[in-house]
Order: sequence, then C-alpha cells, then structure tokens
Amino acid sequence: MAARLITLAWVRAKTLRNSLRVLRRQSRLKILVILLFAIALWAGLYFVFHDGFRSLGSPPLEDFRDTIVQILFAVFFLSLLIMLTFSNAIIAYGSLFRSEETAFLFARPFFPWQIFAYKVSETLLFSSWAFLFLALPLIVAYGVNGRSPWYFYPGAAAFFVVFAVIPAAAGGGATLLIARFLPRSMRKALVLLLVIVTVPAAIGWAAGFLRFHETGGSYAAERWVRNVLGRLSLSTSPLLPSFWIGDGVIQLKRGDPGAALFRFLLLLSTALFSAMVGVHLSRWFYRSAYYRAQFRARKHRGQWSGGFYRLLERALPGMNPELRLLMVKDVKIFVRDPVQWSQVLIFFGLLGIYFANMRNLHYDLNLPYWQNFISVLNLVATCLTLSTFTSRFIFPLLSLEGRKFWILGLLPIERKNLLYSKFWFAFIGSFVISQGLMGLSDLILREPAPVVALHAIAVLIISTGLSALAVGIGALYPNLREDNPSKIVSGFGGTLNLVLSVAFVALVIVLMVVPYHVGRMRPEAEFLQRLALPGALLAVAVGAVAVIVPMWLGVRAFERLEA
Amino acid sequence: MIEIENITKRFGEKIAVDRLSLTVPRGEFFAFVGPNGAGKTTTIKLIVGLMRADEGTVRICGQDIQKNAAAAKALLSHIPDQPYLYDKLTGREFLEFVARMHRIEAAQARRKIEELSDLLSLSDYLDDLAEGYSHGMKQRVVIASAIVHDPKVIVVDEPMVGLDPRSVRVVKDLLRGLSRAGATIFMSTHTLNVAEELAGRVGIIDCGRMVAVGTLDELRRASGGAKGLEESFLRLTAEEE
Repeated sequence: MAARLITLAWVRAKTLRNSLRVLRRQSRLKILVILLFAIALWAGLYFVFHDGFRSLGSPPLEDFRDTIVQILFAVFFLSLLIMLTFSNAIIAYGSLFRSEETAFLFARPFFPWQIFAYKVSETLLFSSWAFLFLALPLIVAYGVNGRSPWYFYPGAAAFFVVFAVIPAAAGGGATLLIARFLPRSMRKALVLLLVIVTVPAAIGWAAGFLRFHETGGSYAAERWVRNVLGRLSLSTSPLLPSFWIGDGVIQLKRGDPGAALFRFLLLLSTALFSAMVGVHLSRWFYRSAYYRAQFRARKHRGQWSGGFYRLLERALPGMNPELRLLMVKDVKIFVRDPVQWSQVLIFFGLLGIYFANMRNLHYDLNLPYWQNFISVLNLVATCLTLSTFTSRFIFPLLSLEGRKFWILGLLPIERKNLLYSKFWFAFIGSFVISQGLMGLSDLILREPAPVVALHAIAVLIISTGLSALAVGIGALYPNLREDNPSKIVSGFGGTLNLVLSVAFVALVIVLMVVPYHVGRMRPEAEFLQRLALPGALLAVAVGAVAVIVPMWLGVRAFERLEA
Repeated sequence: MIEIENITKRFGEKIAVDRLSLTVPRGEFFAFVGPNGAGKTTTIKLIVGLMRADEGTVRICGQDIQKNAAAAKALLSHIPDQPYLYDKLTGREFLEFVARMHRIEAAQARRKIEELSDLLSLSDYLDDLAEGYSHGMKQRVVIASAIVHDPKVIVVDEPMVGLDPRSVRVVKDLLRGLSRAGATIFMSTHTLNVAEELAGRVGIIDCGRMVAVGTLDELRRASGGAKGLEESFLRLTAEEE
C-alpha cells in the first residue's frame, strides 16, 4: 500500500523538477529579483528579532528575560497553531474536493486515505512554507543572541517541521468532517458563527491582557510579569503543542538536550497521532464526503438581492456604465463567497472592536503622549491590515478570471477599462472600510479637526496607492491557470506586491503623519508640526507614483495579455 | 465577414499558425477542421482577439481586431470549447451582464433573454448560481450569451461537446438559422459529420497551415476523389505528414 503513496510522491517530485526546469528557462533577472527580495526580507526580519531579543537582555527587563521569551513564544506559537489550522482547512477544501487531480486519482486504484494523505501533505507545504520562512529568522536571531550550542539550529528546525504537521492534520480532518456531516445550508452559518464567537473572544482576551496596568499604581515589574502570566495562562498551558515547541526551543538554547528531547517527543507523538486520526477519518468518510461535495445544490437568487445590486449600481454616479457593471459583478462574486468575506470580517472586525473598546482598555488618553501614540498606532494598524487585504483579495482578482478570461476578453470595451474597474472596486472598498475605522479611532480619541483631516488624507492616499499597486502588479504578474487565491498570492507577484505595499504604507505615514504627532507628543519638538504640510505634499507625490507607475505597467501588460 | 490576412503566430521556436489567409463572407457557415495540435484553437483565439498575431491582420466586418478591438468585438461573439462561467452569478445575471456590456437597453435585454431561455430550455435553472450547473447547462448558457446581442460574426469552438442529442439538434438549427439570417459562422470541430451537415465550405488546417479550403465537392476533388469529408480529411492531412 505504501508503494502507491511512493508513486504519488514520485509524481510530485517529477512535477517539481519540471517546474524548476521551466523556472530556469525564465529570465535570470526575475529569479535574481525574487532571491534579493527573499534575502532582504529575511535579513530585515532577522535584525528586527535580534534587536528585540537584545533589548530584552538589558535593564529593566533582563531579570525577566526568560519568562518574557517563554510568554512570547507561547503566544506566538499558539497564534500560529490556530492560524495554520484555519489556513490548512481552507486550502484543504479546494484540494480534497474541488481539484481536478483529486477526481483523476479517485478514478485510479488508490485508497481514499492515500489520496487524503497525499493532498494534505501538499496543503501542508502550501500553507506552512511562509511560516517556516518567517519563523527561521526569529529562531536564528534567538539562537545567535543567546550564544546557543550547535545542536540548537538543527534541533529547532526539527521542532518546526514536526509542529507544522499538527495543524495540517487538524485542518484536513476538520474539513473532511464538515464536508461529510454538516448540511450545506449550515456551512455559511458555521463561518458566521466562528467569526461571531472567535472575534469577541479574542478581543475579550486581549482587553484583559491590556488591562494589566490597572492592578496597581506603581507598575512594579514583578507584578506586571505575574499579571501577564496570569492573563496568558491559556497559551502557557503545558498541554498545548504550541507550548512544547516554544519551551523545547528554549531548552535547546539553554543547552539542556534531554529536556528538549522530551518536548520534541511529545510533539512528535502528537503529530503522528493527529496524522493517524486524519488517515482513519479519511478511511471512513473521505469517499462519501467527496461524493457529497460533488453535488452542488442549486441556489436560487431572489429579487431582493437584485434590488440591492441595482441600488449599488445607482450609487456610483458619474462613472462609465461599463465600469459600474464590472464593479457590481465583482461585488456580487465577493459577497456570495463566504471564504472571502469572512476573512475580511475577521481582519477589520478585530480592529473595529478594538477601536470601539479603546476607552475600556484604560489608556490614559488625556495625556498627549498616549493620545498621539495610540493614534499613530491605530493608523499604522489600519493601513497594514489594508495592505494585507489588498494583497490577499485584490492582487489575485485578475488571475482568478483565469479560465473565464474569454468572457472579459470578448467584451466590446477597451481592456484598460477592465483594469480600471478592478481599481475602483478595490479603492472604494478599501477607502470606505479604512476611513470608517480611522474615523472611529479619531472619535474615541477625541482628536481635533486638523488631525482628523490629516488622517483622512493619509488614508485616502494609502487606499488609492495600495489599490493601484495590487491591481497593477496583479496585471503584471497574472497566473491565469490557478484557481486557488492562496497559491496565486504566494507567487513572485504576490510577494512583490506585499513588500511594496508595506514599504509604501511606511513611507507615507513617516512622511506625513509621524512628524506632526511627534511634535504634539514632545513640546521640545513642536516645530515638527510645521512639517505636516510639506510632508503631506511629499506623500501625495509618493502616492501619485504608487498609482501611476503600477497602473501604467499593468495596463501595458494587460493589453498584451494572451489567454 | 471575417478577413484573415497572412497571420502567423509563434510560441518560441514552434510556429502554431503559419501565414494563414482566409475570407469568410457574410452569411457563410464555415467549418474549420484539423488534427489535434494543428492550430485550430490558436487561430480562433487570433480571430476573436484573445491572442495577438506576430504577423498579419484579422478584420471583423472591416474592423481590425487589434487596432479597433472594441468596435470589432461589438460585432463578434465566441463560444469556447470549455464553458467556464462565473460560479457565483446566476445564468440570468450572466446573460444580463453580457447584454448590458453590449449596451442593449434593459427591457430589450430581458425580452431577448426570455426568448433564448425558451429556445434553449434554460428556464428551469436560469436563476440558480452557475456553480450548480452541469457541463451541458453551462454550454447552453454560453451559447445564449453568444447570441444575446445579435452578433454579425460567431466564432464557435466545438459547440456540441457535452450537449444531449435534443440540445445538439436545437443548437444546429439555431446556428443554421443565424447563418441564413446573415450572420457569419466560423466553427471549429472534430465532428466531421456536423461539418458536412452544416457548412457551406470547409477549411482543413494541419501544422499551422491551411492545406485545403472549399466546398465538400472541391475537397473531394482535391483529395483525389475521396468518398466523404472523413476520407478527404484523412488523405489531405496524411499528405502533410
């Protein structure tokens, strides 16, 4: 039976080899740019983490360094465990039930558990490579900073590989059970329920965590650490795999291989057990779940939804009617796909609830320092979340037209209008959400009118620039053969877009917003407030470049695109 | 009317379409046949503007498909071999979208969609999301979308794949009727008896080159007195090999 799995692995290895051959035939410049970006990102993260660990080793935190690192690792790996489980479950659904390769394999003499194991291992690679790539600098920085023994590095790598198996098996198994047992009509409700339950729970937990300074007037470091430990008791539970990996890495750094090995074996046995449970579930349920998933109940769309979209169309006056139609089409497709909107709801819902609860978090918002600090922090958080949104949802929009490109390609309009419609769809969505959030933040913080205006202009520039970057780069690097947005985003174009988006947000905020707030925070730097206007002008220029260059390149590439 | 002048399309070293020239006049039903990999789909994509020729031009009713793309596409429609639709739109929404993109007035579009719905038996599922459609259902919606704006030129790639015998008959009658009403039909197919039944002229492409064009009688003569289109096809393409 293992021979068939080996055959599947052999096919995958051949596919990978052929893909590498194709890559080698591509432009060397492109490969060089990919490598340079990867190295720059990796090096940047390494230095940030290294600096963070170094500052933990200096007064007044040095006495609590190990405890703080333990908390940080526990929270970091628990968050990763949850996110990777979600990510694996979402990718696994497409891979287990919608992929053409799966249909092919079901028609061949493979057992369902073999197909399941093969497809989930593929899911594991797709959902976990970024985690491994980003966690590597964290662990290397920790090891270098703590002058760890040589076996720290291979040991930590082994921990990571084994850890990644657990969320993959859990996500794959959960998807299998949902597809097999949950009525189709309840699946959307489940997504909503997850959002409704997890978001407030996360906020409540975060609010409790941030309320630590209420407990005393002196903020003694020891009391702070104890308080935080108390709040984080869930993540530091010794029953969690996320705790074992964090603690195992710490034991490796301390030079205690015995203790590390114990944690590793705990992790390994859990990973093997999760994989075994997944395999058994697939033996029992995969075939019936697969048959069930192939049947798509016909969903009727009533008049009310038609009325809503007609209203939406009329709400876009002055716009070319074709652009409006294309936008409304994109809105319909987005709204009817719970996988898409539920993620947006989680992204921005968390921020919204946090902003609405800022008063309850007991920041001393009457002090100019805190008011300005929190204000800039909120702007940064909103804009970085927005950059994630445009990278995850807007960048792959054109690629997702893929096999349906014949529809757009045959329309009697100039191709550039298709790109402009995507831009307006992205811009209006981004601007409304981010402006709403920043308006809420400014309202709670009771910011004066000039600050509200400054933030509004910054959000306008950033939403415009991020939308243009995502649409333009999406047209420059389309992947018309891939249906899975997660796979499209993880390519070269998606990575380039994310890096440029983050850099653009940072540049605009540093040029336009930071000097003004620093001037308000520190009386000795009041002169900085006068830099707001020239900073805003510079930010407008940067924004113009971020709109014109990618859109120009995108339109040029899109007009030459062959389907 | 379709005018193809000396078009060539290369993919790296491979020449997919090699100096192909052809004119299909108004109202003609033209069938385009050839072995797998002969260049049929590439030619179709060049005609409808989904690909750009390295050399040569394609004109639809006098409009260059590359230089005046929007004007040419207003007169053109295409039925691809694989009927990919937007899964999250209903068939009716898709047809309305296509009609309105062709600037058909809303009431007229609704009337036309009802007509096509009756003709192609779409009414049972037209208000359901396309994700629940079978291949044949999608194919019928795609065919409806191709004629909703009364095009002057229809380029069809394997239109009968996935259709039941009754739908095949409906589609054949529909295309024949459109051709008689003055529309130019350019149909690529592997089903030689459909080509024989419907087409006024047949073009045979092999290795990117048009090896023969003519009526069935002309092709028979060109292939040395073959009995039917199948034998003509086999002889003419064998000579090329």
